[in-house]
Amino acid sequence: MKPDEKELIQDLMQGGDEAFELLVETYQKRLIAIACAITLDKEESLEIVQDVFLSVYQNIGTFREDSGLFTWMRKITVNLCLNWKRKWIRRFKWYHQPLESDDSMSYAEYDKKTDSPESEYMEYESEQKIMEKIEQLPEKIRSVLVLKAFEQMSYEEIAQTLEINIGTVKSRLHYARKFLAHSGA
Amino acid sequence: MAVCNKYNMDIINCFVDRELDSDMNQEVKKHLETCLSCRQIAQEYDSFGDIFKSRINEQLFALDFDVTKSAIMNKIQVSKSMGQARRENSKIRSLAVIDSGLNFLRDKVKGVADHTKIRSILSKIISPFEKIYNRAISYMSDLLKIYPLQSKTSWLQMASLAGIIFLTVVYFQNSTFFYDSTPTVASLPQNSPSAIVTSVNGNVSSLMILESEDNKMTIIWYKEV
Repeated sequence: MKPDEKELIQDLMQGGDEAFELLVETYQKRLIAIACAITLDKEESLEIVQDVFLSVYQNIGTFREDSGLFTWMRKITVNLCLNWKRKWIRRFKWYHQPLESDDSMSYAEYDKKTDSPESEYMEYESEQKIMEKIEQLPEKIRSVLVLKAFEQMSYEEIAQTLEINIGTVKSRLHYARKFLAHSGA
Repeated sequence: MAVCNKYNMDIINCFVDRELDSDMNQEVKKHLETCLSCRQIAQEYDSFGDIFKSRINEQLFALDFDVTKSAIMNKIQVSKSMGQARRENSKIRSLAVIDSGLNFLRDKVKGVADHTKIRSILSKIISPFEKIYNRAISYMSDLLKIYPLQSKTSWLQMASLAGIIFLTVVYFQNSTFFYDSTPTVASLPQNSPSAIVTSVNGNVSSLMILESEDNKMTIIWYKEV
């Protein structure tokens, strides 16, 4: 654990608001990205991350400093995402509305430098198909992919976070890739 | 597309995940430089994570993280306030309990000379309750003299007796023992039959079915109005 993190934990345990603000500023983006990738619902992911920080605030006294603070928060986030019960209408909304509209691209796409409009479009279409396939993955398999792709965690770290075997991590990751490879992209 | 015979998919996956030891990693890396099919698969597998990450980041691109931070801090503040309110409430309740206990003690402690005024006020408030209390105690004492309840057995016997009495009352309330189930006999003049079994009075005529006293003969009496 880093020395400044130890100091931050001490401040948090004393209930310092400034310490908490710093914690939120430092880690909220990463946690929201993880939650959004697992749940595929931006609004829910924001609520989940709020609950994560609330949980940290309420339970900082019980935090064991054998793992890092972010490791702990990430585990809470993943658990909340996997236990989150989506209403059927949200699931319906997700599966029947694309992430982006077919006609327009998001702001970030305009900044990409590509060879030609046709190849840009082909690449976009291919990525869109892969995303559609990712949406179809079960959450427990997608969560392994998220931790690998977003956090570059090792098999062992993923296994500890999800409380599964290393063999299960490997098999889920390999299944996910095999499934995505048959997307026709 | 499939991998070549040199390495299986498991090895390629572990290579993509950087889970191979350094020697094996170097070996596979060297192989990918020359084997097109394995290289294409490894590149494709590697790209999935990048595509996923980039698409999610695009979704969050327009998010105002200052707003999300405020929402988080507000939620924590609300939780803090609710916790404080709960603690305050429990403190108030604790104080009320302590206060009532102290009042009780003040009344009971005798010889506290400089609190005579408080004692007189409290005694005025408490006296009606004390009277009821003392009366109840005296009734209980009288009962205990009649039937000393010194053990659990005594209590059980009392309860059984009460139960028996209760059940008996309920039983006889519903029972016909005290009731005469036979129909009431109307008192009739000497020359008349012993009983009127039934009678019907209509607008046009009246009918009466009677029974004679001695021989129990049935008599039908009919009269037009």
